Amino acid sequence: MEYGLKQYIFVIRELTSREIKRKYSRSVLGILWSVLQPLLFMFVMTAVFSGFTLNDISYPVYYLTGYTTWSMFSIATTTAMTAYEDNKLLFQKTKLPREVFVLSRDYTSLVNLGFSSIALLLVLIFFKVQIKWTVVVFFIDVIFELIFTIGISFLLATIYVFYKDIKFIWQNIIVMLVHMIAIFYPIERYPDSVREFTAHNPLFIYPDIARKSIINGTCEVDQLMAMFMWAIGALLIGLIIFKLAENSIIKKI
Amino acid sequence: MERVKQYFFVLQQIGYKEQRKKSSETNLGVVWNVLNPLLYMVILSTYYNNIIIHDIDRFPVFVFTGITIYNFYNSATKSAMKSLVNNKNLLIKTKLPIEVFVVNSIYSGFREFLFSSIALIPICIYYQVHITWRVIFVIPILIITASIITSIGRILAICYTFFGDIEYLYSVLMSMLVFVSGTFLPMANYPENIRYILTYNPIFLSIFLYRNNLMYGLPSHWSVWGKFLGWFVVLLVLSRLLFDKKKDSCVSML
Repeated sequence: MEYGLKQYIFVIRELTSREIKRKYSRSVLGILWSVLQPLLFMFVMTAVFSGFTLNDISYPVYYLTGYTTWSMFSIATTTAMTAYEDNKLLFQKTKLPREVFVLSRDYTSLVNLGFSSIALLLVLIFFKVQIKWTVVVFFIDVIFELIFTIGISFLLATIYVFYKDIKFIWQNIIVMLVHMIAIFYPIERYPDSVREFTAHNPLFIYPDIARKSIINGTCEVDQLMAMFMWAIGALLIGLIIFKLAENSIIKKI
Repeated sequence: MERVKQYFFVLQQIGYKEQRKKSSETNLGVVWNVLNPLLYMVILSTYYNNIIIHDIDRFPVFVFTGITIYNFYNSATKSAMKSLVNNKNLLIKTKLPIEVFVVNSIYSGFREFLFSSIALIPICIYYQVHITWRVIFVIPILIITASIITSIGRILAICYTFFGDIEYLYSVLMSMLVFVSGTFLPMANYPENIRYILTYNPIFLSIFLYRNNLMYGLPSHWSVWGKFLGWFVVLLVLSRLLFDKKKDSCVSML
């Protein structure tokens, strides 16, 4: 059966809505939790790091913008890893194009970002942040971050089929990474030795562009270039590795 | 006496089975135990170097002690929470008291803690930490900590059989607690009002006492011990009550 683009998208949306129903119907709080949790963290972090003066940005805004952008990546990659194993039956018994499983997990995370943005919007309004035209850059940033995430998701999902350890390793990497990308406090406060390194880290770049475009109302061409390059690069690597390993995956599962 | 022996035997067997399962799933398992706090120590010491007020000398040791205790709380309580559900079959089919499973996961958590603390020795030597006679207090501190964790584990295990969401809520709670337990941020960094609440956090109390007696050789204010022991007693009583009351309905739920 030939899969046209329409059917492809249909399948992804179906899988995603199943994921979302599963995720949000199980818990009592449901979708509300997607909005509440980032806010909750924000309160705690503000309390912990409140000794900071950040020019004229209030800490909650700084934190939440960065964190919301980052969590799309972290949720997407950790859930996408097990996409093939979880959907084993569908994988084996249907002729669905293999990519949809990973893509639906990434799309679910994007939807989650959407809900969390409600919390972000509330905070922005509360702190009377002036939104300039550069907020358009934020949406572009999210799209490219998604592309980057998709690339990494394919890479991880492929590795996971052969090497289950990666899930455990990746979870730990995520926890450690969050300290290394200026989510909790600005990069200016980082020790000189790591500042260069951090600035070139794609996972710093995406939240930073988000912060700059929403809060500061600025955008830097260099960063935007990097945003673009990392996304394309990751997507290519992810897809290539996936395609190469596709047959072995089919045999393994 | 005979029964106690039998329980010990079963505990050993379960522990052995879990170990086998764990190390067959991950090749890294054991290595990771030691590597994890070390990695955290390096990363947190580097990235938080500038913002920590510089009267913390030997910051890496500070971080290492905090991380190992936090990990103990985190992994022991989480595995205790799931211990009843995971061992459903054994539970239903044998006459073992269900407590055995909870205690067992705490016991493995404790072993992991001790194992990861092996790295503490070279670290202390490298950073020239002066060990004083007060280090003897570390033993009761760890025992009380283990007991607090066991009580929390019991409560969580019971709740989990009735209310699956608790798993997710608890992991969110624990991720927040990292930042308010003095794991890598010293007390002075927190604003006044937070500091007061902080002193009631059992994880903070464990870490604080552990550091005072291991690293600094300082006596701790009686209020710290008071709160620490307070948690110990309160949690023990609460968990016992809850456990005994709900034990039977719990089994039928499984």
